[in-house]
Amino acid sequence: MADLTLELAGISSPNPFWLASAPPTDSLAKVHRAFEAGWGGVVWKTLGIDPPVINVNGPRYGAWHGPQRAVMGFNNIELISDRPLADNLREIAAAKRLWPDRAMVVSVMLPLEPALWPDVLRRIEDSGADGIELNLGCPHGMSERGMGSAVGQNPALVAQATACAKATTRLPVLVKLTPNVTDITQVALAAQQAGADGLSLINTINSIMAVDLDAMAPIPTVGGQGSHGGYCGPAVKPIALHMVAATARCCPLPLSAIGGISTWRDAAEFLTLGATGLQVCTAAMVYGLRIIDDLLSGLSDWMDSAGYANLPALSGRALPQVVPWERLDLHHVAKARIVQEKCIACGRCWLSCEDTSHQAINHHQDSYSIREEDCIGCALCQLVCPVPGAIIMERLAGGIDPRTGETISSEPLSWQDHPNNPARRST
Amino acid sequence: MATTTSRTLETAACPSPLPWTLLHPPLSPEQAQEAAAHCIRCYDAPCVAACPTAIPIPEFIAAIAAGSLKHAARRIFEANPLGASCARLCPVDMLCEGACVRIKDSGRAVAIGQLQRHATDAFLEQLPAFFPRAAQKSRATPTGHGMPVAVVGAGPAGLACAHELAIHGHSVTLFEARPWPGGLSAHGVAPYKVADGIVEREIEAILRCGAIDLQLDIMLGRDITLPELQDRCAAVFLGVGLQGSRMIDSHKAIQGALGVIEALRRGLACPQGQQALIIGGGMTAIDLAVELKMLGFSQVTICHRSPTLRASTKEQRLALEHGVHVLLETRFRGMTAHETGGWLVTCHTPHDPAHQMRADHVFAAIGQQLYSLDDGHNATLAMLAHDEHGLILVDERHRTSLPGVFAGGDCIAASANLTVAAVADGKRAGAAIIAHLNAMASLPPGEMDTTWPT
Repeated sequence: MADLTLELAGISSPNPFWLASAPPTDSLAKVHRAFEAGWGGVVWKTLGIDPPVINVNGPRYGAWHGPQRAVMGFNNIELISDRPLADNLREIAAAKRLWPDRAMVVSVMLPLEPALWPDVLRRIEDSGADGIELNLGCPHGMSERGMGSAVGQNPALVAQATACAKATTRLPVLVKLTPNVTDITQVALAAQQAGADGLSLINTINSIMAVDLDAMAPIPTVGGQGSHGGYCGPAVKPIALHMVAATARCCPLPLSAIGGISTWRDAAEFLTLGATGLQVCTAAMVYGLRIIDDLLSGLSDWMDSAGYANLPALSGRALPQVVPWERLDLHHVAKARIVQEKCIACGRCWLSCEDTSHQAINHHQDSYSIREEDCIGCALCQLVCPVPGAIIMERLAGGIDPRTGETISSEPLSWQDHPNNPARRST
Repeated sequence: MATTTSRTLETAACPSPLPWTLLHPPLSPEQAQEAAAHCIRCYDAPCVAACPTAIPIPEFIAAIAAGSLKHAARRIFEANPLGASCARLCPVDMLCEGACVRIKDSGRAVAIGQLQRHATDAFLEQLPAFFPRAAQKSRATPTGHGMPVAVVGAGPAGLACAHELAIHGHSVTLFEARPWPGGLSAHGVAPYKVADGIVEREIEAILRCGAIDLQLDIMLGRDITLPELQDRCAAVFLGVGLQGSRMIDSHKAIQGALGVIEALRRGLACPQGQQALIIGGGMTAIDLAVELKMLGFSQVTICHRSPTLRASTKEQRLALEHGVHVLLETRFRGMTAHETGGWLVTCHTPHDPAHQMRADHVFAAIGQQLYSLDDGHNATLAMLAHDEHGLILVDERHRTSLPGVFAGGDCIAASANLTVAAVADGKRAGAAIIAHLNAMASLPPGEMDTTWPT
């Protein structure tokens, strides 16, 4: 059985799945339930200075629903913990005493006034916590007060906050990055250079979930008005995957990956792109803490079958294959093929290709077929096809490409060396 | 001729005293969303091709999914003005749902009939608003000079034809032999499919589109003749249907299934007893069998000559669910009076050439025929080309052998004997009549004819 124990920036846990800083981790009662269910660790809901913030008393979440009311995307306008600091710290200490083998990381968000930091961070240390996560990402409410993403969007302020934390505490410091930036690597490197021990990413994406067309106001609507909020859930996973991979390629720090992880497969994908550990929130909020069973057994079974003995053996395995576009092989030729035994002849591929792509599908009486002399292998037909496996992409290994009339070379050729590239590498 | 207004229509629609309830509940909004999500919006969708009225099914389902129920209803009624009735009456598993591609990958068709019902039920009252009438034709066509188009028969074909003409600005006189409109939809289908008065409400909505003068209790051949109509009207559409159950001549005691269904539907008469035998294997046989079980008959048997019933799979399942006994490959041989009353019926089954059973009633549901060609109808038919069964021959534009006389629905030789096919006939014929009138005016489309003689 695969060894799923995690070691991240000196913080250890029996498995890589931590509950992210959010409502599921804001009290001893819930964290206790999480540890009973088998979660490897938690990042406690972000603490601030007293007096605590005030949350809205109306709806604070919005959702984008897919078929069967599946929650595809989720957003919130909740602020950091609205409980007194001392209450939180007392429960953090109790949780750590009850569950000493689990990771207890405490999220914290403080104004950039260095005098305020030592007291809060030392009290967190005294609670027995294993690490600090600096919340530099919250895109709503706190950012208007000069915290959260207002800090996280500025590399200089990220460095300043990180240095401030490092100067104050001996606990490992993870810096949680906001995706609401043009280039995530700039803030990642700023945190690294200021001494961060690890990075957590991504925080939520700024969003307006929907508009209530009767109230003429954003959803969630509070007293006839709405505000922008942080977007998360399965819909943000592709953005998070990219940002994790981009960060992993340029920054040697361990990464705790966050962003729409709902199944073991999502978890495995983040690990292969360079994540060391994983954080989950929306899936637990939608389906309950029990999902940890499926995450653990699914990941373990797959690692066993694929031959990965432990997490470090898997981490970053797909990273070398993430390359800039200019390194893709332009001699690779693929064509779509319709598997007639599986095709239900709905015509969706024909419509998409004929209306909007390369018009490479024949419409017969009761069937469809690919015209290879027109097919550029874009895969649009495969993606719109409602039947898995009914359209496959096949590589032409040799011979002539019927579309270009050119011989297919087995030698890779990238844009870096392509004759059409004025800046090609000299041979 | 007495003119009938919509007020008399309401009184003509006799409420049934029998406690029929709708067999299938409507979809809830949540169920409709789930059902709509099963549709993948095919291109060149086979469900549309399988619908005689070519309702744009993927489009109306997409409208339901997007929360535009009114738009969904509009798309349906534009293709089929009797879209609400058809949603209940169509054998969908032999038509749209039978062609659904989702059967191939998921084993389950999209619930097109139920979704159509979901959309049309909600907006039936707004049907007239979906069809802004063209300006009344003044001098462009003969109908502008007090000469309406005569539509004979207010069944699905006649109603669809009258509607098509009316919304294009033509005046229509719609003749119906019975005291109520609707044809077989109003008296020939099981009440548990239409117990909420959907047929009557849909007809009222069609008539509210305007310019249709409905005249009840007027029978072609008895009260009016075809030559009279030709004299008085710009064109004639015959949608007279078939007028009775085909009977078994050797046994006069056998009752026609349609007559019994009609009496039940209109609350006029109700068969009494415990045991019934129905000869036939189509939808009418099943309609009557299920009705009798609902009325409390303990044993209802359908006997049919072929190895399979003609009725759709859904209808057959319905019969099984209601405990109807089905004898296949079984021929009716004869019947004699039973000592306890009722009849002793003898059938030839695959296992017993002289199988006997008792029945309080024996019904024939072996199809319809024209009445025994009474004089009036004979006279009408004699004027038109027809086949050996007395069914009217028409071309693809529903023209009969007489100029200006069109026909559609069950009375033509090419009939598919389906409500929805009759609607398609009526609509097509309506368009052909408009083209005919325009051609008679010898004008390019859209131009006024100021020279038409008054």
